[in-house]
Amino acid sequence: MTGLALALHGVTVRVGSFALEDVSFELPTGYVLGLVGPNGAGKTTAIRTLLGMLRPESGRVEVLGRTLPAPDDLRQEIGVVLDRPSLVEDWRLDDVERALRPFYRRWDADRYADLLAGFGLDRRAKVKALSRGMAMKLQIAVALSHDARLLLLDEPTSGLDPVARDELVGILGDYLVDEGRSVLFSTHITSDLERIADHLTLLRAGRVVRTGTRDDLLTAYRLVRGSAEELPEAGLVPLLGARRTPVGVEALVAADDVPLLGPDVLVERPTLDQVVVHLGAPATARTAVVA
Amino acid sequence: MTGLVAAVRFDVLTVRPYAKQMLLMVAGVGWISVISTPPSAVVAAGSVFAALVAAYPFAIGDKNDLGTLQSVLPVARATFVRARYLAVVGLCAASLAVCTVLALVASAARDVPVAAGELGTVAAVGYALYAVLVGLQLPVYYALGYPRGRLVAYLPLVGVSAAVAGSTALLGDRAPDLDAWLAARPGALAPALVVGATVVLAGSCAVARRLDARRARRAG
Repeated sequence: MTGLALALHGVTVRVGSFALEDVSFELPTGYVLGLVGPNGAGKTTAIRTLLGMLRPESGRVEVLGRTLPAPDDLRQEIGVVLDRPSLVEDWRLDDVERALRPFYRRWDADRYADLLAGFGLDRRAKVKALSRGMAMKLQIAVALSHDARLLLLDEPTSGLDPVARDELVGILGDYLVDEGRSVLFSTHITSDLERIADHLTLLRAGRVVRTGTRDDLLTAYRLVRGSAEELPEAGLVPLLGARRTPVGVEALVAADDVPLLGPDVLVERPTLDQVVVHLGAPATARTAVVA
Repeated sequence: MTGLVAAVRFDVLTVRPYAKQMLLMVAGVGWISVISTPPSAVVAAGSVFAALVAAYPFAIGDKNDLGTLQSVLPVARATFVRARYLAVVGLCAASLAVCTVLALVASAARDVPVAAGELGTVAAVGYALYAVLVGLQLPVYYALGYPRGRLVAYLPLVGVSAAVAGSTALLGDRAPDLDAWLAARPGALAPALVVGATVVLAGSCAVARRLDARRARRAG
């Protein structure tokens, strides 16, 4: 599969006092991009920009081969799950379908029914009676029912129990069987991404810290542990997200810098969670540790 | 189904769960039909009640963040604005229909005959009244959003009323004599009201689309 499902090129967007600054990342068609970062990193702002809800001050946004702003009909091809549902709280789940189905040319009523049943959602239930996790499942059911080529999921596993999260990962796997489909999945639960994301973009304070394939991200860094004396002085080897632990200091270093470390330093391959924790740490914690 | 029809349907479904609350309005109109003289007056009164209900979709939309949902649906914002106006015209038509039936029932029960022409004229007056109330109210919601807009939604109406009263007072005898104009054209009132009201709503819709687009640009 060739082409890009979406791309941001040097995008700057301001929302109140927050700004995404010079953000660039892309998602090749047919893959899953995990957008990770701590709360307030700009994940939701990036997704809202991709949806055309926010207009960049500068840069270029492309979605499914179209540069934004694009015709509204492009949203036929996009399934969306936002961090909180925007539905009339007194609608029953049947009403949700009645209200949304006419907007989509390829709405699949059977698929919607199957997804509701699979998620254990009662069609007669009202939206306001759903728990946060159930409401998220409802949004996912809607997003998957109109044969979208691109899913934009903003924290879809937030509020879901582990079983439901596992179900969602399975559903996304089924969705991706068709090679023309792509998913952008923002989350701070990195275990979900370990299983499904092919590409990762790490955001921190409105900027891209790192973007690329998951394997590149995981092989680009090493987790190092040692006493403050064993680790190199400030400036020699950047210690990313250095933090004190009961037995010394733990930090991330670039894999290329590992030969510069002393022999007593413990070096490990990091998990995705460790990469996110250390790279997502505030900038003040990204320099060398003072002994 | 076109985007416009889908958007009108979306608006209707938005308020449908709250239909029971509107029964209170229907009860109020029913009560007016019992006491009003002539019975046909209820048709115009119903339009005032309907104008109050026209704000419901804004209130529900604000409470449930439907603006966000609408911005991810594959339809332009302007289409949702046009759909809202079509829905409120439908609401007026429904109100006029219900009130006409109430007027006929009251007329029969009280043995006060109502001429078809009288009903038609009152319905046109009701539509015109509704168009002015709604046409001045809705753009305020699009400009300011419902929470802030509801506080000042009737200011344009107050302003227009004050302007009419002020200009009438200023012009004195030079003010156009509407009574004489209508007396000379007995069949012109209802059509003139319908056309005028439709023009008011169309103009209001055009203004609302611009205000909504401006608000969206500021938010984005």
